[in-house]
Amino acid sequence: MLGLSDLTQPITYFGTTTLHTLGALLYDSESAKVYRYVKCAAAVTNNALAAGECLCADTGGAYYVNNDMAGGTGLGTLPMGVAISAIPENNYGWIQVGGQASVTITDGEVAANDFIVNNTGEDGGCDTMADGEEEQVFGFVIAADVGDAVTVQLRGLF
Amino acid sequence: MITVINSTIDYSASSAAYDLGTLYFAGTKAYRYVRAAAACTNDLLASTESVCGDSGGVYYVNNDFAGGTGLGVTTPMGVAIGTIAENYYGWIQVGGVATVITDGEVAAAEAIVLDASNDGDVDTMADGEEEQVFGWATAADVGTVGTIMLRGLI
Repeated sequence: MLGLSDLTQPITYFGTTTLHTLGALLYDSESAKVYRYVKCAAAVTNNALAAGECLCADTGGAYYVNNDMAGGTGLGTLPMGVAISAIPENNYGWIQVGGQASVTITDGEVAANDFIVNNTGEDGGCDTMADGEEEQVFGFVIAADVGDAVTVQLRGLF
Repeated sequence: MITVINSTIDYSASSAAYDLGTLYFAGTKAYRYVRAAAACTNDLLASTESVCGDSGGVYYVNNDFAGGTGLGVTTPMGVAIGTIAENYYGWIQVGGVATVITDGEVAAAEAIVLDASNDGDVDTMADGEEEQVFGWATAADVGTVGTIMLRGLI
C-alpha cells in the first residue's frame, strides 16, 4: 500500500498514461482515508468523473470505473468508490475507497445513519438502501444530507 | 498492517511468524495472516479455496462450510493462495482480484457468497443471502474457475 510520499503528482492528478499499477491502494495516515488508482471508462456521463460522484464498476475491466449507473458499460450495482476530482474518459487517477467521503449527489432524502448504495436512477448518485439491496451497501451516512450533499463513512470497498 | 514479509506469500508453518490477523498489502492485493482450523476438509486448505471463520478462535479459518467447527457461509474470511495444513499458519487473500472455485454457473458481475453445498467453493448470491456477499465476479467462470473482486473482508 502506497503513501502520499510515494506520489510524484498531486492525488487529484489525472493522465492518459499510468503512473501506478491499476488498482493500487494508497493510505493517507493524516486523514485516515484510503484511495485506489483506477481508469475512467471509455464512455461516462458528462464525459468525465466529477468530484463527489459515486462510482460503479465497468465492463472495460478490473479497476475501470464509471458514473453511469444505468446505461452504457457501467455496472451500477457494483460500487467502487467516490471521485475526489475530475477524471476524463480513458484517463487514470485516484478515487476514494475508505474513510469519510464527501458525496455531492443524493436523492435529497438521505437520513443520518442510513446505509448507502449507488442510485441506479441517477448517474453519480447515491441513495438509501432498500430491502433486498444489502449486498450493494458501501457506506453509511454521518449526517442527513444538506440539499444533495452528504458525508458517507465508506466500507467494504477495498 | 505490513508491507514487507520475510518469506514467500504461500509459506506456511506450524508456529506463527506474525500476529494472527496481521494484514499485508502488496500491489493491488491484500492478505491476512491466519491459522487453519484443527479439522479441515481434506485435512488442509488448498489454493483457490474460499474459507470461512472457525470456532477455534479469531482469525482461525476453515474450508468446511457445513460441518465440523467451520462457521459456514455467514462468515466469509477470504481465499486461500497456497496450501495450509490443519493447525498451520499462513496467508490468505482478503483484497483485490482473487481466483476461486465456483459451481460452474457464475456470470460476470454477479455477487458472490460461499457455497453451502460444496466446501471451499463459491456460488452466486441468492435472495436473502445479501449479508454474506464478499465479492463480485469480474468475468463469467470458465469451468469451475472464477475470478472475483473481493470486498468487505478487511
